[in-house]
Amino acid sequence: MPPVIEIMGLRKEYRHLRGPTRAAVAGLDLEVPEGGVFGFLGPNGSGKTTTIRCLLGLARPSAGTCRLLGVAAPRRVGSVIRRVGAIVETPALFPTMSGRRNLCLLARTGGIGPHMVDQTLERVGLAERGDDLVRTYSLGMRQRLGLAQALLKDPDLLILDEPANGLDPAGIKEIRELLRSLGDEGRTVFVSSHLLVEIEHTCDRVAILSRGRCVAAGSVRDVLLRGHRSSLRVGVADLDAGLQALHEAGIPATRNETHLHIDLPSTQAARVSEALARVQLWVTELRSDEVTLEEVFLELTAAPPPEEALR
Amino acid sequence: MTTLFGVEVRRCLARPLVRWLIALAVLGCVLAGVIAWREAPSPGTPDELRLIDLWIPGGDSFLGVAAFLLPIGAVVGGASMIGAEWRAGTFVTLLTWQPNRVRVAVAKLLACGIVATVVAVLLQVLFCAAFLPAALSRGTTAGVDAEWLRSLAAAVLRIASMTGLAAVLMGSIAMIGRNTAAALGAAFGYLMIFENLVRAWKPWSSRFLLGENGAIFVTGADLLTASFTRSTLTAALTLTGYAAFAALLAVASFARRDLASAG
Repeated sequence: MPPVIEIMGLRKEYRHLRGPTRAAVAGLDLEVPEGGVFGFLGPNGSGKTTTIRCLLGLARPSAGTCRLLGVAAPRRVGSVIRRVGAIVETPALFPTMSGRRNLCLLARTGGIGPHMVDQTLERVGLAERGDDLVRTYSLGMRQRLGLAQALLKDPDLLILDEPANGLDPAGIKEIRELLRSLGDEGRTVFVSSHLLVEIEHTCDRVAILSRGRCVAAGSVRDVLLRGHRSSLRVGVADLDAGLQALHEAGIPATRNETHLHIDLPSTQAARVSEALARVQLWVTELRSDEVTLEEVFLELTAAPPPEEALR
Repeated sequence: MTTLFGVEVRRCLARPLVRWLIALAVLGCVLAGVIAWREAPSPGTPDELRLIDLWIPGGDSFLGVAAFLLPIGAVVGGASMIGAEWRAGTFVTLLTWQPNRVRVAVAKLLACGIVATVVAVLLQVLFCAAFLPAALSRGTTAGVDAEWLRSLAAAVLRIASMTGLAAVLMGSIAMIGRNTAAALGAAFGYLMIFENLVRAWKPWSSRFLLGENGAIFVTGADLLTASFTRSTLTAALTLTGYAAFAALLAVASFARRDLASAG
């Protein structure tokens, strides 16, 4: 099955009258397979929004190619745009019109019947406020309306740039459930976010962007395994004896006041237990010190910038 | 393209500034009619209200006021319609629905021009209608014949066209400058400073200026000066040329430039 998003060697430079040219995206390669929720992570200024803008034809790449649903972007995006719903940064709709009126006009632009508008407002929880002017909406409600305009097309692919911006915890949870249900329906949801915990719980696959380049991509589990701090936490009565036994068995370990830390994945737990038992040390606690997506993210994005990115 | 144009017309009419301008103009028309009715001299007196004073070809007339005010309204409305969209960021949302930028830009500018033209026609009809009670009850309709009515209709259409062209021109400048205030500033600088400098420095070249061509087109009378002559048709073509050139630049700029900053 061909990827729904295919980015090869994408580079986007911004020229400034004074100062050097800055590469917002510096040779990005990325493939997003069909179906499920794909998280697109990166710190501020890492090039997430610029990548999304290039995909949607809002910005022209300086180099490289993008393909959206199999067609070249931005040249042929028009032929598939009906199947793509998108939010880019804070969704902007006409503040002096009602939410419903905004959606009706967009629906008309896309040749979509007005019956879809009510359905979509209902889905994002704005049915009751649909007739109020957008300027009276809170940031969270505007975000929901933006999501509604993206869903209005009943799209195969959703590209959402920070869809949970401005939402309260309950709203974030609702959006998480909505994204998950959209992914489970067989759609592809490509979502950029800073909310790593949400991404970790919502996404099937992720890519981490740092300084305009992809530093990790794959299933959430695969990316978590990239975390070098995947380790075991072990409790024994005599920590010094335990540490010595592990070293003698060739197992890298350190100790703190209460535990031993072993730089091995949880699959090596039996080997640790055996090494300690051999010297009559009985394990009182043995658990995987799981690395979180946040830790992996911070580790990967803290690496020094590639030279080409800051030409 | 027709659908997109229809949507843009609805968006244009939903703008509060456009609604306010139209409401103000309607109020002005009604007030003008009331004042004409109250202040009209008694019938039979030499300065009695004549319906033909609404439009005197080549002379001062009540409709001349509309010819001045309507394009000013269009300048503000046209610049605001496009500039406010840049400010609100709604272009980005629209382009995720219709990525053909040329179509989007053409539909917006066309909507600007057509709405301004139609509104100008309707307001002038209202303006003329507002004078009817005073002229019929306290003045005279002497001189009103088919030829005058044709002349009035032509004037209304010329003023409306001028209003539409002004809206397209300003919408185009706002699309290039991506800002309402910048567009209004540029228009003010051009009309008040640049054109006056040109008039003073090279009087013969004022035949190409917006001010002269606008005046010739609206009055419908050829201009004969010591340094040049200009027909109404040439003036109309010059004005259309200005608007078309600005629109072309705007569409090209909109089609080529990124809708993004680094991020």
